[in-house]
Order: sequence, then structure tokens, then C-alpha cells
Amino acid sequence: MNNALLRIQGLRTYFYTEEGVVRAADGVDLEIFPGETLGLVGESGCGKTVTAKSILRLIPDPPGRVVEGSVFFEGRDLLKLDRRSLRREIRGNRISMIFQDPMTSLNPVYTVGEQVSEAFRAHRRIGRARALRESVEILGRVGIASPERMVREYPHRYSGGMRQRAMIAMALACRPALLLADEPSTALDVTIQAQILELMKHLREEFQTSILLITHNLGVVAEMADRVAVMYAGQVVEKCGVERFFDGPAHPYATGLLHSFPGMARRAGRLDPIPGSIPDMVRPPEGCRFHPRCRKALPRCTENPPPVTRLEEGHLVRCWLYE
Amino acid sequence: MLRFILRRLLALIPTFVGITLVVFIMIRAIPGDPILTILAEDYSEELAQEYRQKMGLDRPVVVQYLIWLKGMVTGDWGNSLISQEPVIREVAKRLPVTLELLVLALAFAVVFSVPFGVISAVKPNSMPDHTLMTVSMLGISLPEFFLGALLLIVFALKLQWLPATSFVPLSGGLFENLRHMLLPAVTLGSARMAMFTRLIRNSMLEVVRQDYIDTARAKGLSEWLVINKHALKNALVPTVTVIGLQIGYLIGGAIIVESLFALPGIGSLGIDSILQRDYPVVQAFVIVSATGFLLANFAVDIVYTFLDPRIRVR
Ligand SMILES: Nc1ncnc2c1ncn2[C@@H]1O[C@H](COP(=O)(O)OP(=O)(O)OP(=O)(O)O)[C@@H](O)[C@H]1O
Ligand SMILES: [Mg+2]
Repeated sequence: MNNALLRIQGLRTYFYTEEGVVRAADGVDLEIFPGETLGLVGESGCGKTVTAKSILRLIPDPPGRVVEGSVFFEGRDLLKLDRRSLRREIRGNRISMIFQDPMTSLNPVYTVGEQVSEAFRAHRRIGRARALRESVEILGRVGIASPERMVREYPHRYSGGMRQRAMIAMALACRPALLLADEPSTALDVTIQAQILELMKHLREEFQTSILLITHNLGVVAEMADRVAVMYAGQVVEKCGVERFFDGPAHPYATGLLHSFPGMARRAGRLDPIPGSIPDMVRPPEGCRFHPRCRKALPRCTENPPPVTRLEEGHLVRCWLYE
Repeated sequence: MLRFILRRLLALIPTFVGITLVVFIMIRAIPGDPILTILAEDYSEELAQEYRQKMGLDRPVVVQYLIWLKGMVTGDWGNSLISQEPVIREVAKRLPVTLELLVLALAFAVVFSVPFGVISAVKPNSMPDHTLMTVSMLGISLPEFFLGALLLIVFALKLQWLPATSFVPLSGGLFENLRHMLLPAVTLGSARMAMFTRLIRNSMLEVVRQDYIDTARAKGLSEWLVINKHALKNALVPTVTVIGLQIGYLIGGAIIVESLFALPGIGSLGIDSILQRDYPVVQAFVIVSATGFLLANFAVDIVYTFLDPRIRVR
């Protein structure tokens, strides 16, 4: 199991705010294998974006800081890599990222062509004209109609779906080994969502890119992912194959997520939301962080944090029920 | 783009007409019949009537205004009551001095405030940031006459590095001219520089939190490009608007600075003419400064559209 493309171990990313220390990622363990798509799911605020940004060291400092852990990628710990190598060799080159909201992730005062060109020029010694030609080419590949014209337009002339296509073009410009896709379709309406997912599937085949796919939407997971990691309050609580997950996961939180998802509930005949809400990340509950909301909580769940148990090959769960 | 500029230029006309109307009414509203003043002892009803006719004062007010406006537009601004010289000649002589002062002051403010604001914003709450913010707070609160006097005492009187209250026009050599303009320009520009520094800092702090800055970093761009290309251009958009609004204060400040440093500009002309009740000159002063303010804001509008494509009209 040491052939992972990316391996995150014990990642802790904290934000030092006036209310206290926000433990946004608090011991995250994740790995992504070559060619696979890993779906990272969990409620809003559980630390998905923070985990992805920590990989590329995009956490704003202050107030945030990665305080512990390692992120091994192609034999090097990205958290210890010098800034220059990180910029030249990793960011936008071996690992790209696309963000949650396409309306705000393109710079409004530069043309899309300029912004896509930059992705080429940051990593290859090519001139302006050549980079622009390649931008036209890749914009066409992600489905922008008449890219020769659109390349000269500013983002405000693009619709949400087109912007996300442009973001994808930018991310794939240097054929990265890994794409961090933070809810790439959440902000778009349903038909556009489907188009973007279709495009990502297609490009995944073509470019042989591994994907960390962050999403709320279990439908997207079913559609795209090979494996699933479930996050709760800054920790990964369950990791398993996608079939295993939809057949019935082990962790009560994962089960709750599945039952509160409209698409699944239809099959089960009822919608069953998880009671309560995500805990305060400054002072998370003692013991298991999920115990105040857990229907199966045991006395010891309130006292000690549960260990990670391996149920079978590739299926890990952080819960006292399986100890 | 050219059509856009032309359209904005045409839009200035109503404002300009408004200014002239206000000035016209203002001058008419000054108490006292000018005929009475001119004729004085020789006053008689017939003579007064003749003068009224000659000066067009018997015509309807609207016609009077149009005749006056035509004079203003064609450069017939009347003669100074004091020197009897044509007002336009005096203004033409002094305008370059004021324009140079304004340009230098604004250039000083912008050239320093941009890097200062960026340095402050890149590491907020660091030593450089605290220093710059403290100094700029001071700069904003110092009035021109105080700062100007201070600079005069230190650099002209004590150190004697720079001349005090004398003036060398551009024709007297660029270096000598700049030597004489340095203190006035710094005096006039300092408060604006301090203000722009704070503005750019706050604007930058807002911008660096935006998603597109993460996008730029995630692409692998250098921190230099992320800050000075992606963040700065966005941060300048709101700043430029304020710069436009500040030009009015700058023109006001020029009056004080010109008087303090005895520069032969429009500002000191305005002050002198008001003190001497030299109405044709006062009238010219008001129209020239108001028009200058109008044109400066027009220039800012144009810069603004270059910075922000979203408001560019096709
Ligand atoms: N710049 C910041 N300053 C302070 N706290 C932050 C900052 N960024 C994130 N956090 C905190 O980190 C925690 C995790 O946030 P994160 O954005 O990773 O959640 P998420 O799982 O991506 O949620 P969503 O599904 O809504 O995107 C939240 O509690 C959030 O308040
Ligand atoms: Mg998020």
C-alpha cells in the first residue's frame, strides 16, 4: 500500500482567531492512488477545503498554519519543500486545483486568455503568442465555443458553466498528475453540473489524472468516485470503496449522511437527517467528536477518542463500535 | 474606446454650463450698480442709459448671459480692475505653474503610496506596516500650512539644501525648476500620499482574500506576480475613484501652498484677487479651477475604465 500518488498523514491545520484556535484539520489521513478519483465528503465546515488547500500550502497565514503532519507526493513532503520548488514543480504543474465558486475564482480584470496563458508560461519556457495559441486550443477542448474569440474576453462575459470550463482548462494546462477539485459543480445549476462532471470524466480518461473530488453531493460521488473518504469535524472518520459506501458504511455518521441524502432516501423510502449540527471547531467534544449526535453512542465514546480500525483491506473506520 | 471617451467628454458640457451659470449669477448678485461705480460724480440719467446700452445691461438677462458666455468661451475674460491687463493673459501665464505643482504633488503621492500600501498589506501588523500606518496617520492630520512651514524651516532655513520662497519657471532649466518646486509639491502631496497609502493597503487586504488570488497562487505564479499583477490592479480600482475625488482638495490645497511658498500660480492669483475685490479675476479663477476639477475627474474616469473591463462600454 505504499504506491500512493499522494499520502497525507496526521495533517493538522489550525486557524488562530480571536475566538480561539479553530482546528479545521485535526489529524487528517488520506491517500490517493494513481488514476483514481477519491470522493471527499462531509457537512459544510468539516474541513474539506482546508485539507485540499493545505496540500498546496494555500492556507492564508495569518490566521492559519499547518502545524503538523506530512503530505508525501512523488517521494517528497510538500509541507517541507522549499517555496521555489513548490511553485515551479508542484503548483499548477504536477498538482492543480479548481475552486468552489467559478464566479469568483477568475480575476475580473484580466482576459481569460491571459489567465490561461499564465498557467502555461509559469511552467514552460514559451512566448506570449504560443501560450495564447495553446490557450485557444485547450479552451476548445473543454468545450468553449469559438475559443479564438472567447480567449480575448474578460470573465464577466462568461457564464458560470463557461467559467468553470475555463478553470478546468487552466488546471489541466500542464497535464497534472493530480487535480484537487473543490466542489467543482456545486455552484452551478443542475444541467450545467452534469455537463461539467461529464467533461471531467472525459478529461480524466484523456489526461490520466487522479482527482481529489470534494463534494456535498453523494450523487456526484456515485457518478465519479472510486473510493470515498468521509470527514467529520476535521478528521477522516471512514474510508472505503465506493460500492462498500453505498451498500452501507460502517461509521454512524457516514450512515447518517447516506440516509439524509435525498437520492438515497428515495430508495429507503424516507429522509432521515442527522440530528444536531457540526460542533464548534474551537472546542470539539471530548472523546469521539460525533458522540453528541450519535444514536449508537456508548459510554466510552464520551471519554476517549476512538482508534482507527481496519475492517477489511482498504476499509478503515474511526469508531468505538468496531473496536 | 474613442467613442466612449468622446461621449464622456460631451457629458461634461451640461456641468460646465452649470458652473458658468453659477458664476454669472454670483457676479450679478454682488450688491451695487456697476454703472454707479463707473460714472461716480459724472452720473446723469442719460449717461447711465447710454452706458447701460453700451455694456448690454439693458438686454434681457438670458441674452446678457449668452453674450457673457460667448466671451468666456472665446477668451474675452475682461480686464483686471487693478492692473488693467487682460485677465486671460494673467491666467495663461500662471496656469502652467499651478498645473506643474498639481502634477508633481499627485505624482509624489501616487509613486510613494502604491509601494507603501502594498508593503503594508503584504505583511499586515508587521513592523513595516505599523510604522507606515502611524506615519500616514500623522501625514493625514498635518495641515498644509503647518507641514509647509516645517519643511521650509528645516530644509530651506536650517539646512539650506533647498531654496525658500522663490520660483524658477521651467524655462529656467528643469533642475532649477524642480529644486524650487520640490518643497511645495511635497507639502501639497503628503496628506494625499498618506491617505492613498492607507486606502491601497485596505483595498489590497480585501483583494488578497479573494478566490482568484488563490487561483493565481495555485497556478504556480511567483508571489511577485500574484501581488503586483493580480492583486494590485484590482486594488487600484476603488483607489482611483478616491484619487479623482481628492483632486478637489488638491486644488484647494494648492491655494494655500502657493501663497506659503510665494509661487506665481492660479491659487495665489485667486487669493489676491479676492482680497482686492478684483471681480473679473475672481470670476476667471472660479471658472478655471472648476473646469480643472471637471477635467481631472474625466481623466480619472478614463483610467478607471482601463483598469476595470466590467464598466467598459462598447
Ligand atoms: N481563513 C480562515 N479563518 C478562520 N477560520 C477558517 C478560515 N478558513 C476556514 N476556516 C474554518 O475552518 C473550518 C473548515 O472550513 P472549510 O472551508 O475547510 O470547510 P468545508 O468542509 O470546505 O466546508 P464547505 O462544504 O462549506 O466548503 C471552518 O470551521 C471554518 O470556519
Ligand atoms: Mg469548502
